[in-house]
Formats: sequence, C-alpha cells, structure tokens
Amino acid sequence: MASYNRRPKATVAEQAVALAWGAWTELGVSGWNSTHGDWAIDPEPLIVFTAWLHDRDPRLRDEATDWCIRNWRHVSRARLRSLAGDTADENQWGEFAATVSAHSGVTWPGSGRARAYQVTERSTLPPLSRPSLAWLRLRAMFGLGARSEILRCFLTQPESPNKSVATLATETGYTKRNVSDECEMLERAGLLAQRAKTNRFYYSLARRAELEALIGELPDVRPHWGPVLNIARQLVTLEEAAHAVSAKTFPIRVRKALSAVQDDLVELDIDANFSDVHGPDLWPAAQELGARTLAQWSIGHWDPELQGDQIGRQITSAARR
Amino acid sequence: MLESAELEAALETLGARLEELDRPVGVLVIGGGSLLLLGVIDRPTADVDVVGVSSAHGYVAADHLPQFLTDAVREVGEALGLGPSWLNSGPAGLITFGLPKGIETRVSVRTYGGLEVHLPAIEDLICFKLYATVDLTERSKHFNDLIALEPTRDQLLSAARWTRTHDPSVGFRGELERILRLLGVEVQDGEL
Repeated sequence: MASYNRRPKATVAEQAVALAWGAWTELGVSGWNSTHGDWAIDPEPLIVFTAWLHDRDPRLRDEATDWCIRNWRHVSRARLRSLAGDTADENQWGEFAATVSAHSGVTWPGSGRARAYQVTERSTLPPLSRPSLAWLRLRAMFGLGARSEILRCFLTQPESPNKSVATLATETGYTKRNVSDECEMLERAGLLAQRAKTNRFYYSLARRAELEALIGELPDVRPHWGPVLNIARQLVTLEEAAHAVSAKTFPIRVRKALSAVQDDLVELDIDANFSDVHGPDLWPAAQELGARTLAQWSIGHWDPELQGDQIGRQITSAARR
Repeated sequence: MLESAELEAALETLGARLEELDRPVGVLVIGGGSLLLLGVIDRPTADVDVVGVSSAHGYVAADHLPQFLTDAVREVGEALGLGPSWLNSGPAGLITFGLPKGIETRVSVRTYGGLEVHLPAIEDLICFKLYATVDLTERSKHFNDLIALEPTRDQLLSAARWTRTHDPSVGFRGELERILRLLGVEVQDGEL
C-alpha cells in the first residue's frame, strides 16, 4: 500500500488518532493516508476505541459513524456489547451507539442520546480481497459470530498454540457457552483439534495451511487489537493527566496506567517490566513505552524485532538513565 | 527502609493525593518515623506507625486505618517503590489504655496538603520509647532511640509512671527499674 507521512505525530493523542485513522481507512472510511495496508483490521475494538476518542478528532468520529451506519451488517453487536462493557466510557460509547442506531435502524448496545449528526455517505466497503480486510473476509465465509472470531484468534498468531475456552472467550468477546459450542462444531468439522487436560478442553488449529489457502491473502501484521488499543487509551489518558493533575501525584497515575497495560504487553509479547521503576522515573519509562509502541503503530510500523525481551530492558534502562 | 528525604517525599505525595481525593485526615505518628521527622535520629525507618486518627473528640485508635487512607498509602507506596504499607497502624493499645495526659496539647503538627502529621512532644516520645524498651529489652532499637531523646531523670520517672498504667504487674515493674538503672536512674520508694 502507498504510504505517506511516515513520521510519528507529536502528541500521544495525535498518535492514537493516527492509528485509528489508518485502520479506518483500510475499512473504507474516507481518509488521507494509507498506513496500515499490511495490518489485519478488527472492527469492533476499533469502533469502541473511536467512540472513546470522541472529540479528540470530530471528523474521525463522524466518518467512522458513517461507516458503521452503512456497514452495520459486518459488525458484531455481541462483541460490541462485551468490549464496550469492558473498556468504554459509558457516555461516549452510549452517544456513539445511539447515533449509529438512530441512522441505521438497528439497535446497538449501550444507553445514551444520539448526537446531532448528518450522514456523510463518504464511506465505502473496499473489496474483501484486500489483505487488511482478511477478518471481514473470514466473516463472509464463516458468518458473523463466534465461529469466525475463534478462527481469527488462531490465525492471529503464526504458530497454533492450545487455547482454552475461557481464553478464547476473552479474546473473541463472546460468551464461554457460545465459544464452547462453536469450538465443538469446528472440531467436528476437522478445523480444530481438541485436547483434554485436567478437566478442561484445549483447542488448536488442525488444518492451518488449508484454512489459510481458503481464506486468501493474510497481511503480515495481525495484532490483538484489544491490547493495542488499550495501551493507546492508557497512554493518551496519561498524557492528558500530565497537564491536569498535581506533579506530586502524577507518578501514582503513571504506576496505575503501567499496571493496567501489563497484561496487554504480555499478550503482545512485549516484555516491559516496570517493577523496578519508581517515582520521577515512571513518566520517562511510560514515554519510552509510547515511543516504542503507539508512536510506531500510528504510522503502521509493527517491528517484530521490538517484541520480546529487548524492549523491556530498553525501557527499564531508559527510565534509569 | 525510609531515609528522611524519602519519608518527607512520601508524606508530601500522600498529602497531595488526599487533597486530590478531598479526604483530609490527621494522624498521630509515633515510633521511628516521628523521631526521623523531628530530627532526633537519622537512621532510616522501616515504616511509619500511626497510633491514632485525629477527630473532633481527640485521637481515635487506629487499629485499622480508614479504607481511603489505606488505599492512598498503597498507591503512593506502589508509585514510589515503598511497598503497600509503608504507613500503617501502630499499637492501637496505646490509645485503648490511655495516651499520656494532655498529649494533644503538646503535639507539633506538620501539614502536607490533605495530610496532617501530629508528632508527639519529646516527653511523650520518651513515654512510648521507655515502654517499648521495657517490653523488648535494651537490645532493641528502642533503647538507642530513648538515649537519642536525651531524657532527664524527671522525664524518665514521669514516663515510668505512665508505663505502669499500661502494665501494673510486678514483673513489668522489675524490668522497668532495671532499664531505668541502665539509664542512670535509681528509683526511690514511692517514686513509681
């Protein structure tokens, strides 16, 4: 894909907005830059994140709303309910969902009042053959539901680890019961392999090569969007708090934010250990984390070299300097 | 372990956090923390012992700190690397069995944002340290702290009489007199 403006934006909020724009542009929202052509886009975490961004970029919010109104058939309301319940600010999400509901005729989960909104009709849905739309392609083949999301979770990683139903439920945003039923069906169809261990079932992808051949071209970058966007959300909140709260209590905010992203970093295989970083060193450590993650993601960089032990050591030593 | 500067920084952060939460509180601090803040000792302290929380009716025993204060202490501890209970409830029995009379009129108050730290006067600290020394012997840190307070004979005898209100047993009196002798005070009949 063509790439323009490959320089990280100045502020964390701008980087978060740029990341969202890059992903939305792949989905067919009218945008200026194509930065995420080799990223597989997952719509629901992006929608919830965009609602959270709210007034930080009103045009992004309006164009994303337009896309949702025109393409609601491609969006899982069950996943929206789960993801919005977990992470979104109720007011911001409620307003976004109510606005989509008011103009699309389908009810999105959440309670709120629709904002004044004029449909722009600028959004399209590009051909699903586009690599970045691999997950929408998967839904077109296997249906909009837990079955597609289970397969997506396995295809997100190059290897095929064993995953429990509970893990898959968390990663997909569907209920354990739903995931359990669909795993059983996929296992019967020969797509998943089942292994029982200490009274729990673990599943893995049984026929990756055949599945990948059927789905078609997959992009190189297939991140877990939930953790990616939660890290972005925490960093934006932190940057805004840096100007709003007392310098004395700001380290408390930073510690909380770093604790809040710890599981996300593990899920993304970023081994950043901040347990030895304290007081005034915390904010530089968080900024270093932002420079190595969100700043890169915002321009479409996903460098596998930066995942793993190296980044953790760099962040910790940068904080100590 | 908390050095003096670290302790001041931690209290300032805690006070700022309590101010942010709009939950001001006053605490009566004894032990090594109070001696460090008063400049009596310069050895680092493991934690800050809160024996009471200030109220309109005097000090209320702090056998458990209020939840908002425990949460704020944990937040500050995690941010500054001090652990979750760098400020904790000390021996609440001191209040249950009675603080030295009039202690509230003698405390010096340090204000850190939403946190008031009430530091006992030297004569009251002598009471606490003498009691702790008798309890834990002269091999404990309390004996050295007591010496650092440079108590006079009258202050020690007054403190000794207060400790007897907490433990009137014969065994305690014998140990008390032994400790006083180590401090150069021979007790005469009727002085305790």
